[in-house]
Amino acid sequence: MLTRRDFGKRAGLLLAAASGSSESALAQRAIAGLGNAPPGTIWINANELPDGPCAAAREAMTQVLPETGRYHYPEFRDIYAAIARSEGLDRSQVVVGAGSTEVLQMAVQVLTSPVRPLIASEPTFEVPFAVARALGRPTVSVPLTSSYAADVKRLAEEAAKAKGGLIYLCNPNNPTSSLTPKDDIAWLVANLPSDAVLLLDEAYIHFLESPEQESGLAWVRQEKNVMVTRTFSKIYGMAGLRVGFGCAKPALIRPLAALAGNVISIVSARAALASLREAAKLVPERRARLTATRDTLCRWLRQQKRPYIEPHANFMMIDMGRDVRSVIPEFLAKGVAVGRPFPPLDRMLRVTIGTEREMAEFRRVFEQVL
Amino acid sequence: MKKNIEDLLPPHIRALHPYVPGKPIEEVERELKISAIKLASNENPLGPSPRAMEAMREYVGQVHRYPDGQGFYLRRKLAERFSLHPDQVLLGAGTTDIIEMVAKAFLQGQAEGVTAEGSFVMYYVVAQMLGAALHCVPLKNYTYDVEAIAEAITPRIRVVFFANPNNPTGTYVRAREIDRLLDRIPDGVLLVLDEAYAEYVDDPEYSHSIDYVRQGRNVLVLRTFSKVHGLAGLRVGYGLGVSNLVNCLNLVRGPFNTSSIAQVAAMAAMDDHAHVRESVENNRREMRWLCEQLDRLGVRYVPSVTNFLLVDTGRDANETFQLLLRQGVIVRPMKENGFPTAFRVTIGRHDENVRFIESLKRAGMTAPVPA
Ligand SMILES: Cc1ncc(COP(=O)(O)O)c(C=O)c1O
Ligand SMILES: Cc1ncc(COP(=O)(O)O)c(C=O)c1O
Repeated sequence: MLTRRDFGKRAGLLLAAASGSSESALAQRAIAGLGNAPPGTIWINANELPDGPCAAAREAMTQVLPETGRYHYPEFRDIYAAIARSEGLDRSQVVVGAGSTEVLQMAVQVLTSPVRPLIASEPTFEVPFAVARALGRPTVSVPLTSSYAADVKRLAEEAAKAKGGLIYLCNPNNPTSSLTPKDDIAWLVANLPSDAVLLLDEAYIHFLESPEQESGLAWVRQEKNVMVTRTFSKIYGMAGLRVGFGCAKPALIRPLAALAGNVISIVSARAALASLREAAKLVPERRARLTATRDTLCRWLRQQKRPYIEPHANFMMIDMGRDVRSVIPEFLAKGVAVGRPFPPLDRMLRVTIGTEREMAEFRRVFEQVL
Repeated sequence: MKKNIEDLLPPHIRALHPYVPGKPIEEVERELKISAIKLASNENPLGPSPRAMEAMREYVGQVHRYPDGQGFYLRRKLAERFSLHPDQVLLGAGTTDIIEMVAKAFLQGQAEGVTAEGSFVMYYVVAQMLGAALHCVPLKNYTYDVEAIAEAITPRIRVVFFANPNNPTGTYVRAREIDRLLDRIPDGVLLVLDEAYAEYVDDPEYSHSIDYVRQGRNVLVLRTFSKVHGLAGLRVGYGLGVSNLVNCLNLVRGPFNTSSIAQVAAMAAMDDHAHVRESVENNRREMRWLCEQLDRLGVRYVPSVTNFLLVDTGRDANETFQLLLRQGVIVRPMKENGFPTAFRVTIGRHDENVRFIESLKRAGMTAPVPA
């Protein structure tokens, strides 16, 4: 039996995890008046998209306001079906959560166990590790390769050794913005031990030139032991609204769906639907804008002879040549909030790609900080 | 032997069926080709707080930012309202979310819970979801039986779920009875006082639940923005309890469980005193009118302090539901909840209540008035 003290101990980890994992921890501290961000600070710390929701989504949000007095449980059937359809899937292959964070949490809860570990690269997005540790589940971390890709051979080996488990692979990877080649992932799917599940986090997939080709959804359609997570927080610009989803064969979705409380607000749901209707136009447009801004930064960094990891998402890692723990406060003091440290990459600064104007300011402050 | 992934799941998870919700109002209207009214879910018939709507309209351009996962400003505002510390306030995606957190935190392993039969369905759903034992003691005269609840507390019990007022019966017990219950609850047992309808109760002796929190008692008070503030669709509610308890529950809370726009709406709604007042007044006036009408028709109901009524027609609840549905009036049959001949109707606006009464008459749901 779990005593209160045990619970507190485990829960302590979860709390630490939750606060550390929060992308906007810094922003929160500042909002709460605890940080020392000067007025007018630029927030390029949390991989948010400055574009915000598209016009159609804003319109949908405004229109639904008079209906927010109602519970909308029945409508969610249709909303979830529409989300599934947008990826060419059936309703039974999709579970929606309060952001993909909730889906990742549920996946770790259901698909790991005291003998089935969570296996993932280091460093990667920390929510899955944090949840597993908090639940007392074993974890195995595998370093990224020298090109910052997931080491799929070792991930598979670890799963074979454990006779199963959940392999978490974030592609493009947070915090490195690096890509694991599609062929490597294909190899991993083909060589997945029978009791293992591959959890592919595609929060940033839309920032790739051809997301459909790079995506793992094809394996979902083939009923492999693969789950893909997606979010409306990134390219759709609605992190505050909390909508994300997971895709897998029904046998994997069902137990997660049973755990999922209905926690999506109707404002969020309608905004997500409106965005999906615009996706064919919206995604390439936003990607092009983002890539142009990012290219300008990369060019500038090359001129400065400043090394960086080749980026594939709306953020990138820059080698500062010294521990970023001392760099981050200097940026903040000058009105630029950047990403937190991501050990063991202690000299790497993670920067979100903001607007052109924000990135110009970032470059200006960068010169002062160096 | 190769196992299927689903074989690895615990049996209580495998046994779960996804919740199948009722018909949406639009579907009813499409099928019947008439306009329908929904008096099924205890929502606020006056709609959302206008100030909340205004605040949301202004916030639309800022939703690209992650929410404040700690809900700093909303918790601070709630703490001020109740003269508590922000660490004593917990935010949920509706109070339903908090009920789930309580179960996840305290109903693990051999721990068990107690509640009443014929109470809020989420208590039963959440317990089943976690495979936890939940003992249900019968209501007494449609009301939580404090004595029976106290007696059901065995050494394994960790949590008591107590809806006050109760849904679906609309009854309540007074503060002094809760005092007595608390005195009988051993240390280490959490009393969850679910006061989702508190704002509607018109009795100075109803509740002093916030005092329990101030006194450091093992109580979690639940309140919601879904009812009197009219924000059910936004999913935001809160719990009030000692900071140790709130800390524990925060551990099982999803890091970003409430959206930024819901937090913004909730704060604005708290200042919308006019909307709260109108909502409560409409409810009081219409409740009186409805009860008079039902009395006149000789239809039985349970007197209620909430924004809904449990109506017992003496006929099969699902049939009554269908008869009303055909006239475009959607109520909630309570057959599956242990009231085979009753339905629950939410107090609407006057025009809606008139239509409900007319439909009830047309459905022949009237008893001969005794001479
Ligand atoms: C890789 C990755 N996955 C998931 C998320 C969570 O996003 P959300 O919960 O907003 O969908 C993030 C957020 O930064 C992320 O970087
Ligand atoms: C007794 C009781 N508690 C809690 C709730 C849940 O409300 P919400 O999750 O919208 O806050 C309800 C709603 O019907 C209720 O009747």
